[in-house]
Amino acid sequence: MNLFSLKEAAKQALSQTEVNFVIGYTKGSYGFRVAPFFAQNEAEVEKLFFSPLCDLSLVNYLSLEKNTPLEKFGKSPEQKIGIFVRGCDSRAINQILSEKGIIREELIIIGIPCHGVIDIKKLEARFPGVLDQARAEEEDGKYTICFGDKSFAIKKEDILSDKCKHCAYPTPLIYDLLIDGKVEGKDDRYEDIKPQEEATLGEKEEFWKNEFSRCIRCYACRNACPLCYCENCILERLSPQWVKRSVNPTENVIYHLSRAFHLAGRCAGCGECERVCPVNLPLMLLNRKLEKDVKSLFNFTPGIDSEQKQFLTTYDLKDSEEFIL
Amino acid sequence: MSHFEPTIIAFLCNWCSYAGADLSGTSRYKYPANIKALRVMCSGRVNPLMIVQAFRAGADGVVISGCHPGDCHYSQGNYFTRRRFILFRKFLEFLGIDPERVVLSWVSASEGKRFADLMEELTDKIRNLGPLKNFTPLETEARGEINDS
Amino acid sequence: MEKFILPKEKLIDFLKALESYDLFAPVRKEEVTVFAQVNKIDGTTFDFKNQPLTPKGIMFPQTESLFTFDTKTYAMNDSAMTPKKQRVMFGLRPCDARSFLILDPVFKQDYPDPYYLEKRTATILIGINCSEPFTNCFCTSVGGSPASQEGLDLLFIELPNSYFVEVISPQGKTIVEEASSLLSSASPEEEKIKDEIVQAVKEKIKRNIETKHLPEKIEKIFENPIWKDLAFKCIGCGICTYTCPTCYCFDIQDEVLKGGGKRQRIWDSCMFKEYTLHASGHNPRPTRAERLRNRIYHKFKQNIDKYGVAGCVGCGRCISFCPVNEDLIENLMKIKKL
Repeated sequence: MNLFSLKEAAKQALSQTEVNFVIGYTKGSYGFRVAPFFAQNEAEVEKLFFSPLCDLSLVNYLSLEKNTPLEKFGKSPEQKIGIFVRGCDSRAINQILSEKGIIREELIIIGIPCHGVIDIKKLEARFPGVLDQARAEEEDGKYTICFGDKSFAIKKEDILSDKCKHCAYPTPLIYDLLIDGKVEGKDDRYEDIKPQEEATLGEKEEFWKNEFSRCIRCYACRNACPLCYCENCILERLSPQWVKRSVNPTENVIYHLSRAFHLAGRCAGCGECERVCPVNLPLMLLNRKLEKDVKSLFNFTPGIDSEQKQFLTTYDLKDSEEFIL
Repeated sequence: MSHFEPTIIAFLCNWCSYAGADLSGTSRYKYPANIKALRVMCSGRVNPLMIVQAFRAGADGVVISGCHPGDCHYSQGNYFTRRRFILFRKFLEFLGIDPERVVLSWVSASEGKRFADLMEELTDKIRNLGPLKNFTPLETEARGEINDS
Repeated sequence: MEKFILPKEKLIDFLKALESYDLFAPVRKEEVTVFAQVNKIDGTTFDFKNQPLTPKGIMFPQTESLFTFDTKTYAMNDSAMTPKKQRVMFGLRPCDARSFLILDPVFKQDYPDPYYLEKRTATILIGINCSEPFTNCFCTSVGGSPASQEGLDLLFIELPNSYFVEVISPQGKTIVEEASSLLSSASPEEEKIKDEIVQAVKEKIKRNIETKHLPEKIEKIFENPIWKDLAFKCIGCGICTYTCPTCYCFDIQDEVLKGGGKRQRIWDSCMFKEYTLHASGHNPRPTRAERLRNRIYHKFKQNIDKYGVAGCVGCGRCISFCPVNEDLIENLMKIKKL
């Protein structure tokens, strides 16, 4: 990763008068953490970096800063935002653009082809209590993790984020500037959800009831998701109230069912929901299942093209009728 | 042992299916009282989450019925319904809810007998499947029998 | 204060001796440690190694039915209010025990809350000292310590082969009497070892911040633009509130079902946008900057003004669980530098 080109790209974006800040990554306050950073001038750009530890998605800040979705008669942008994106992030941006949630002209997208990011929870489990700021580098299928005066070599697949293991789009699909060369995507066969799909109905029910009994309904999954940007979220509406605020396994199933289905054909696979969950719910299973079905039934992949029509607002006369009476 | 009678909510589109259900009534074709009809203007109006709410409120099965493809009063509504529910049904299955409990049917305004037959068939099927156990029914919660944990 | 020794291998027997109580302890549930009621006690039940999610749910459950009603009458939820048996919470870290001292005045002073108070008075708190601080612990910066006795009835301090048991309150004495056959008196040598261990752990806490003059500083900077800089990372998710042992904000909603219903009390978070959303549509805390400012104000100034103690026990959960590395200690340091 050419850090110099990355910083130059950020400086180039900031040099435009309409750009107030560039959203990127900086070293976190302790251990293996990485934090988002809004660089507002050339001096602050020096704090930006990228490494396999950059496991979080920055696209969420677009909705927080830019008041998506667009007002009906949206004004042309007076202010632009620069943002670092990896492959999955670029698909999220494409999807928001195709939904007219944001205007292309508002963004300066700095694309970073991604070789995969580390699952920080796995690292923290291996090395608990680490406070010294850590570094990570990748080479030849291995990660070298350094903190304090120690250095460890770990096989890539041992601590790689699960979402990266089957990533088909590691190179950003939309960008103004691309740092480094393109990365080949993997062939995604949805092997990770197969065991779940092949379980019996009773086993499935038991599994989800067990998982969702842990959910504390902190709403972090909803807040962290770049594509959950509705002003009036269905999960917190009181009239009509689709999901009661009580926390019990039944309401939790309804919460996650509703949220996942609202992301059907929109989820970019960034895995933020699963990453932020304080009780480690396997939320990506739901999103992956829907992603697979949308692809096989309707030949639709979200986030490929910023102009594509949504699959639920279009139809095909030849759509399946297999179960219809 | 008490005999289980399922509760089935039927979302019927105003122009075709509801009229079809009406016709079955006026033609004196009986269909089971387990079916509770809910008239909507178009099957495309039905939000998948309404099905979840129906199950939550105590339904054991849900049927959404609309006009035949090509005959929708609003031209395209039933095409969207079709797309939505193929996906939703598979998703419910993934979560452990029997997809046989959610049924989509095309019933036109003139198919009174067909409507009655379909409903009879559906009620039998759901009766055999038994009561829905995935969600705690609201009454049980109201009586304080659910452990809110 | 009486002091006893319990050999480590007798811990399970000790807990089994408390069969007349409902026992709550940290257990591993899939991949997370929570405080929950324990029915089966053996060597695999407990998880004393990982930091549990907040234990406040034992006194102040996340979802609690206050009363049920229908068109004719209403009934208080007695079973939620008054526990059927006396309860024991075992394995509380001293910071979490202190958190109850911070929560108690909230539910006692202005209007006594029977739902919290009845559970609280029916629960005996047995703490375990910290042998290793968790990653982001800073209890010593807010008046706590890894072997603090505050809020506890009994404190177990881990020695190499045994636990040093300190009896702090009359309720603690009752417990000790029920398990007296397993305990022996502590000798002065053992007490010396205990003191050394406690001192050593204090020095292991790496994250520190001087909080003495923080309230005055915070009061002066209400309008300062620093809040925007501190809060830009925050995504308003609520994890900090839901894992915090001293946060107590709640919402009350009526859940109405078929001619009847119940009134539910549920946790709420001031970090949510709709926390201060008025019916008119106006929101006095419209952005994350105002909400973060409110959180820090509440914990480090208002709590001190009203109850005499900071609303933070230094457990570090908000730092460990925050998905975007909003670091409370880092933020407080930046405020102090102003």
